[in-house]
Amino acid sequence: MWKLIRLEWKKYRTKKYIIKQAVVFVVLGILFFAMCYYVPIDAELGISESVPEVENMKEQIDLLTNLVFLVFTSSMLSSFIIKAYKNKTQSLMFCYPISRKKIILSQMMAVWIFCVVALFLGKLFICLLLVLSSGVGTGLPLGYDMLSANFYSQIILKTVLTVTLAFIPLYIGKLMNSSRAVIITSFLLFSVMNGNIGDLTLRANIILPVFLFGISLICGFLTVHNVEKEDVM
Amino acid sequence: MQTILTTSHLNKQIGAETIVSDLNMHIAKGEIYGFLGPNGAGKTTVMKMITNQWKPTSGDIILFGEKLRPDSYSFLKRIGSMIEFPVFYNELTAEENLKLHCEYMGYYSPDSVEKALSLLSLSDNRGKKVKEFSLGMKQRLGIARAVLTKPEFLVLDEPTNGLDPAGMKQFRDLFRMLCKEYEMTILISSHLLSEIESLANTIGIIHKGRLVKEISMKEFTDKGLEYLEIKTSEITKASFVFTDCLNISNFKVINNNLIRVYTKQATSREIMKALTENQVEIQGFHSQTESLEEYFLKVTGGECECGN
Repeated sequence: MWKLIRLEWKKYRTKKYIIKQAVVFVVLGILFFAMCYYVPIDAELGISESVPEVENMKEQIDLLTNLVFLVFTSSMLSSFIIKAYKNKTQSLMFCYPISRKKIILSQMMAVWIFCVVALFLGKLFICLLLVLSSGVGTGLPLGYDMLSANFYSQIILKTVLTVTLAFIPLYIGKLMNSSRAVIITSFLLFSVMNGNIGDLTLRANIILPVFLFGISLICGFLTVHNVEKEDVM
Repeated sequence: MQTILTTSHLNKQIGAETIVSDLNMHIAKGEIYGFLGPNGAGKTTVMKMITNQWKPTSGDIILFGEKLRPDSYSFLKRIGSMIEFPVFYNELTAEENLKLHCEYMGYYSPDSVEKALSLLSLSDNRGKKVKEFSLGMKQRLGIARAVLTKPEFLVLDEPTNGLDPAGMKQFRDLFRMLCKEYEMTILISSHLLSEIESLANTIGIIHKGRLVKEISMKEFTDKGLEYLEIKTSEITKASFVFTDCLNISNFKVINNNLIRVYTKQATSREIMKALTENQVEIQGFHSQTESLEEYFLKVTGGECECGN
């Protein structure tokens, strides 16, 4: 399996994805730095005047990086799997003496591992940047302590959750044989998780992420499940 | 002779449409099997089922002595294929694509990539990205990939598409060499009947999803597919001479003054003698050999997209 995953990275020249990710995180880092130290703060309430619902930077970092990565993971899964069906390279893959389940699973895992590592490192980079530049001025409270183990376990959990959620758009995209459907579903999914109606927000609710995580795993299973019996169109 | 592939009552249905129906095909080890049929006859579907990309609706495929199941895949190690059009990772170079193929096939042999590239005259393009290749070059690279791991069975769907005449000849020579030196069995489909005629040991003709004929080229040439073409204005009288005097029933009236006699029961001299004795006016008389194209047209009822 590990060999198949490595071949997937090689085939799709994962280096170019690493460069893209590095650029995205540098841009996000600059954005968060500005947001932390240059957005005016309400002196009485101690919150941002322009983004009043955000109480600390940790929340803001999670929100934006998760959005970026849910869409990014979905688009990568779409390139590795949905587009492979469309441009017939998946037919080529299924001509190899390897079980189809193993092939699809390796493609999913290649994206999953890459994105989990990238998102984890990206979040660490941004958090570290804000901590190191804390002397620049006063801004929103950071809301995290990089010296505590809880900080890392939180990041890992949220990273795994966000990246795994992309299996839902993948399954829908595979059903509809559409890369566009993958991207649109990832945006909708993010809106469901982070949107709010009046005072009600699902973000704070623990049940929804756990429920969606379960659905993602089921979607991942269904993507692979019947692949041996399918005609490769 | 050992059989590499047998299909038994093979059927493929998609929705309400039957694409392949009750197909019984036999390919012997070491032979080149020419698979002929008009466009949409079901050639590609059969090839996709053989390589397990499409699953049969019913019927069996026995490959290398084992029945194919929907989840069979280990047999693919013994097969090289190029179906429909050659597909590659376009951002990778020709060499990278072939190396990747070796990795997936679990085939490790030094110089195999270089040898395959040089066999198909692609050595100078090894570092070029596939997206920069012409159709003919992709076709060559597709063949290079199919033969790279020296498979026992090659399945090639219209491999000469996009090739110039010199390229076609090179392919023909290559397939003969692979068959002879490496004892490969080759299933090759083409709409160029003359290509198949000069290459195949056996031909299978598929029409509307059914295998209407499977015949060895030896049998085809031996079977009396030579015929006499007689030009006469007295068709009825000539027909009477064939049936009543010469006891020949295998003849065909082509038009009002042309008749073809397919027989080895009587020599051309005897036929000529009987016609003149019965005072049939003969305007022309010569012997012809039925080409594969004519035979193909006969068994498919005249539907042909022949490229020659």
